[in-house]
Amino acid sequence: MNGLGLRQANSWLHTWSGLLLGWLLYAIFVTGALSFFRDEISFWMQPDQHASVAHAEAPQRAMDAMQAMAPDASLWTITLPGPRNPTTQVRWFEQGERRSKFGGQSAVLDGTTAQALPVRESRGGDFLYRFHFELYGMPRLVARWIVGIATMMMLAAIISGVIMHKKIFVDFFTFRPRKGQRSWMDAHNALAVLALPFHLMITYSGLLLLMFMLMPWGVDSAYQGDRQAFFSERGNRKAAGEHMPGIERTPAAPTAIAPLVRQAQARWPGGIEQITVTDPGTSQAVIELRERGAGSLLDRGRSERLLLDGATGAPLESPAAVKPDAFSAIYNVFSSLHLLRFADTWLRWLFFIGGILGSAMIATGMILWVVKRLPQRRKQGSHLGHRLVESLNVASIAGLPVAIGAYFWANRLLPVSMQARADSEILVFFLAWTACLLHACLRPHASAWREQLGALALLLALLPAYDLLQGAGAMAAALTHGSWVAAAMDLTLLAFSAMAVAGACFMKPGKATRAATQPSASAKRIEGVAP
Amino acid sequence: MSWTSLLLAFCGLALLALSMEKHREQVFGDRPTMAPPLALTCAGWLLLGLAAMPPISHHGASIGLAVWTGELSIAAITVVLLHTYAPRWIPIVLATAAAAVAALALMPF
Repeated sequence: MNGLGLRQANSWLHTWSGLLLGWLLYAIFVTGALSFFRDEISFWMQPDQHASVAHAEAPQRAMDAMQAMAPDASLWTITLPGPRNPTTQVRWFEQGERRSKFGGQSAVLDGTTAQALPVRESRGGDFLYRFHFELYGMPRLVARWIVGIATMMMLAAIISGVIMHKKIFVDFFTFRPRKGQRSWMDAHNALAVLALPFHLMITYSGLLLLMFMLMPWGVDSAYQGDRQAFFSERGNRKAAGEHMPGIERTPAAPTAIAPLVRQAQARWPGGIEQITVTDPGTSQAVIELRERGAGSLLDRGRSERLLLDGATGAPLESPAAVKPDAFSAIYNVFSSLHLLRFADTWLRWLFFIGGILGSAMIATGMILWVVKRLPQRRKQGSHLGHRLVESLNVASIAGLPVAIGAYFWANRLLPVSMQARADSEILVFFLAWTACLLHACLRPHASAWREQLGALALLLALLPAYDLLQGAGAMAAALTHGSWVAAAMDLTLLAFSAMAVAGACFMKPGKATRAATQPSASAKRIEGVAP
Repeated sequence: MSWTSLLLAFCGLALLALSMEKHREQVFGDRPTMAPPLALTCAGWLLLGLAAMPPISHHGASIGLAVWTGELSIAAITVVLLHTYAPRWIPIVLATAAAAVAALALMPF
């Protein structure tokens, strides 16, 4: 009896916390899954750069270009072409300018020719990434609290879901289609159970990442409020080449970078990610090479660095690698699993699919809430609350992807010279989402599903077609040089378009009424099976 | 390397499913099968363990285990979809996957 009570209590918690926070959690999961490809999406949203291809001589050519563009700068940072972005991104700071992460001046260079490429004003994948944990248009702290509470409820929903699941091992590989409510239940269970390690890990690590923001008191009391000191001590990172004022700048010819790069590449299998030059073109110049990626989660993918004399190329004393303590190691494992900074393409795809499975799990759960209550609604007539849940389900599950598709289209169609262009792209995103909400409220339930999924399929399928018409830079880079970043995104859009078509066909007219009559029949079957 | 591990995970999970009465019926119907369920279970778990080896040896334990669990999820979803929509194809798919694992293992790098 006690066990039954526990199971029922869990069921109640699972149902209602899932319903209340489901829409928000769905948005967090979808934007989070896309954030695994944040850099790739940002690159894809710069169509004028798609033809760029990485070249072995990129470091030397970028150094030469910097010498021409910013000879008097105090600092250059050169991010070399890599598997996630085939362009060279450069940033430089004038003498005496404060060196912040996004300050100074920046440019994007072609990965082969090192010619400056046009940059269109866009937030790119960063908008989706920020939305994932800070939503939009509200104070950062409030938004993070909301996301933090939703994450806690997600963890509770996962655990209560496992407890209330009656036949977790017997039904492990079971999916029974075309049986109304039973099928939704099977789909929800399979999506949850089969990717359970991923769901648990991603939710728990997300909570851990937000923990330092939500509950900073321990850190604050130990570090007297200087949280920056805590993080820099934990990360053991110091800004490259702290500026020393009052030293005379003596011009000196820079050393050739190519031999230094070869030397570093022989040492690091992943190659070099970034070159930083302090006081370039002087005798005090220092070149810092940073390794791309790293081998273990325990040190949060921290990469090795090499310091070299900028005039002679002679090695200087390099910062020693620090072994993390046990607490840092655990925090590092979970936070880097969540942020995935270290990952190769294979793991990035695995996690992306995990995120999509999680989104689908939440979506099927919310649809299940509606389907389960349909027979009752049919008997007792319509109910405002039920109608509201139906509409919000369509507007979030189908509407959010439509809004993201509209955001991508805005990136292509808004004039490049437009004022506040990046904000306008985001405005289009929210306008499209609002339109989906209104549409879902005004149209019958099944039609709303079908029309929004149909619109999604069209939006996504036509994007690659539009790019081809505008000049096939992405395809050319992929087919002639094997540089697949932008082309892979186009193919992914087509795949999701196909899924939207499948969803729209599934919701074809007549199906809704058939599905509605079935739950009672399948409910009898369930009663027949389970004593 | 990555594909070897994913295919091994698929073979392991497919064998585990076949060790269950109701899924064996889906795949073979009334035809008797020679392999006893216990042997299928053992072979299935063995393959799942083997599937963890390539990513661990390539990435180290921490990233390797993350890769392994991700691959398990995708393999499991594939097994479920096959059982639902093409149960009779499972022996052929299983044999092809096993052959592919052998081919990948013998391929010179």
